Amino acid sequence: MSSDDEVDVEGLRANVRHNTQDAACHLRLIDALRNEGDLGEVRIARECFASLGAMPATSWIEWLGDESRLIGVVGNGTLFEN
Amino acid sequence: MKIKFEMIFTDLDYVRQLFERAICDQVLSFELWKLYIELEISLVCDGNEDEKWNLCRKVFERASIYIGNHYVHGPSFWKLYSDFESSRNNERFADISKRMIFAAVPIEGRIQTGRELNIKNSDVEYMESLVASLSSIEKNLEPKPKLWKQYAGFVLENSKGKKSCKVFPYMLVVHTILLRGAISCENSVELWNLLLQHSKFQIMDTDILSQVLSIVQKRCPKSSVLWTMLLLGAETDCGNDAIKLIVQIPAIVEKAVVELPICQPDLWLGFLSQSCQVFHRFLNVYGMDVSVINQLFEQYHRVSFLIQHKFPKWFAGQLQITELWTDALWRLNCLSSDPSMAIRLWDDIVGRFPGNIQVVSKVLSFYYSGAAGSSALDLGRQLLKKQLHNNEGNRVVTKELSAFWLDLESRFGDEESLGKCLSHLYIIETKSLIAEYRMEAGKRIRDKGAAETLSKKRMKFDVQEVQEKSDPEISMEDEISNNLVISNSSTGDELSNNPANSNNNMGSDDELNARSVFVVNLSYRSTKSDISAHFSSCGAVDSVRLVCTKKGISKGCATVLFKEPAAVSVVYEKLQGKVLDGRSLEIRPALKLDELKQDEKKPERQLPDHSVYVGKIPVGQAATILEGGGEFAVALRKCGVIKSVHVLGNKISAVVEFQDSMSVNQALGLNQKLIRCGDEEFSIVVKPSKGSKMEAVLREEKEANEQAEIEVKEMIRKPNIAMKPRILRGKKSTVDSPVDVTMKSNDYFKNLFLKKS
Repeated sequence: MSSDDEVDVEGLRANVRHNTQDAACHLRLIDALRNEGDLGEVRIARECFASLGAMPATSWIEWLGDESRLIGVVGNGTLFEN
Repeated sequence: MKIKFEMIFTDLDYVRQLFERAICDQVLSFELWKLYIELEISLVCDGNEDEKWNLCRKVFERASIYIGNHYVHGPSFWKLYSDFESSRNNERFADISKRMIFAAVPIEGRIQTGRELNIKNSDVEYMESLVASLSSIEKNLEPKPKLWKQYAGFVLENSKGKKSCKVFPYMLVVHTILLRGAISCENSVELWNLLLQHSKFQIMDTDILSQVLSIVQKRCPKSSVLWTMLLLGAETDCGNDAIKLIVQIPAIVEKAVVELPICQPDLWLGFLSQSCQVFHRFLNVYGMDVSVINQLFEQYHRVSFLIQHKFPKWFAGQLQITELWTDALWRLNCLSSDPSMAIRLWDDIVGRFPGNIQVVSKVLSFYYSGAAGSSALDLGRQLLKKQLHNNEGNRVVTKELSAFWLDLESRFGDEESLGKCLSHLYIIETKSLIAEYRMEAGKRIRDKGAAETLSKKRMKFDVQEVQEKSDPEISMEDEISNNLVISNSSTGDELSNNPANSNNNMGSDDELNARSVFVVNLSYRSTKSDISAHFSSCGAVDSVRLVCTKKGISKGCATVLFKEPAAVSVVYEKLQGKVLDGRSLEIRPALKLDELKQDEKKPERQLPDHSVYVGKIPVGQAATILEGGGEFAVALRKCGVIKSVHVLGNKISAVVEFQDSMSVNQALGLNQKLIRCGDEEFSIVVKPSKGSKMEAVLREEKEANEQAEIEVKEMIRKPNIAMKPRILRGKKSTVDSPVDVTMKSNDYFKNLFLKKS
């Protein structure tokens, strides 16, 4: 299972390298890495994407949610539900 | 690529940094701000000290800059903020709630206004829930003006039945909604108009109104309400400074002329009347100052000129313009000791409105009033002559002018000038009009007790006339006496009391008048003999004159001449309102005796009783009908014996008279039938000939049918009215989602009210 995925991730990385301006490639790579649980890699990929200045609000929200959880804050938008 | 182990351990500063970056990137994302706020709130540990929350407040305040004005997320954001404060700081909570009302509106200084407003806490709570629930509706509102309108109307509806102290916040919410709607549907003039009206008539706050006015001026200068309100507002703005105001009005109109579309006559009328009103009011207040009046003239002329320029066709017929002018001038005239100044101004006005008969008549009545001095009379005459000259060929205007002149002369002028007037009018007018004038003038002069002089004058005049026209048939004495009789008879009463007169002057107008009555509301079917028989019950009837059209159809009125004058009074008693041929007769004193006399000489035209009109006769066949040569004649002869044929001018139609009514009916059956005529076929047209008994009968039948149809329609219409609302209700339910949302929220409010109560 992991081997297939790793190939996939590598392919996605190559894709991103070739099409740096393609937001969809970035998003796919981030998704794949996030599923793997590799937080360091995700962060790098996200930084890379964010530096392009075209990261959509949903990706930002996802990222910030992840980071907030890391520092022990709920960060899923449920605080105001009540 | 190697990953540094340390980087996985996140610290707070890094996250905050990330949030700052994210916000730089996506400043309008409400979700992002919400997350940031969440983070800050989560970071505060327990404890209720106010200071601890200041970091959160900082984020809230920053978010309010971007999100607070957002027309979709704004309300949700403010709800969040007030929720946050509600459990922490009461003062701040009230403050936020007030801001919430206003800050979702992108107007500078709105927040400040909100702070200044003193809204009680309980109201704020209510408003809060209202705004919150409405915001969910707002998400579904696309830039559709109609939906926004419904939405605002819905909130307004909710304000009904509230205590007066609670209504005001509602008005503000409506105001907010309208403003946001107008901004999101930029092109909707309707919403801007609504907003203006709402601010003016519901909120009644001058500050808010002026703010709105300035916004609309920038965003939607096409709104006509805007300019109307500016005109109205100018008055209150300027207070007592009349000069400032009357200068400002043309400036506003000028701008409006640039911005507004042309094709709105009503609008311009409104503009004009509004500025007219303002000027008028100022005339009343400051009318004692000649310099103000002068300036008023100039400015008012500018306004009317601007509007005239924009919409010339409509402007031409407006009287309103002249009213202010004349009113002002009248005043000026009363004020100033120098009539020449007023005269100059009047001249000026006539020049500005050339051809406007209203202006001319007003100017003239001023000239003739005596206030302008004796020289003004001559000026007036000159003006009249000039106007008559200019309007030569225009019957209506000429007649009006002439009548006016005559009126003025007989009231203010002396006899000589009246004579001059008459002779002048004679040159330009026809005989009949002159006769009318003479009668008019005669009455007036008699009122003044100078009948004799006039009749002399008139005689002189008639001599001229007769000589000029060399008309030997009517002697002038006769004509004069005719005129006198007619003008006398208008009183009517003295006639029947004057039998002595009738004896020594048999056949004169007076005598005939005394013996006759005028009958109206006759049936068209009633003939002379019918009427004669009907009236013979009151006395021997001498003659009956039926008033007919040129084609011989009865007009429904007649003059009955009795042999004895005594019969007249009997008729009034006995036959007034009695029915003849299905119609109740109305009997009036006879007046038109000259006509009666003339008519008696003429042989009465016989109604062609058994005749038909035949049209579309092939060329050359019309003349052969009587002889019976052509196919047409054969076809017609089959119907009955033809008495006479009258071929009409165009040679393809004729009036054919039969011996009896049976043949007429048969001939009518031929209508639209095809008749073979050599190698071709022709369709024949057979109609009852105009003026025949048959036509009268058919016409009455048709009228009766029409009446019946109308009645039937009315019968049908009544149930329709009852059905209408049902249809509407049916339609409403089929309207798609946005309205449904409104309906749902309506339910929501009902629930809310229930809970509250």
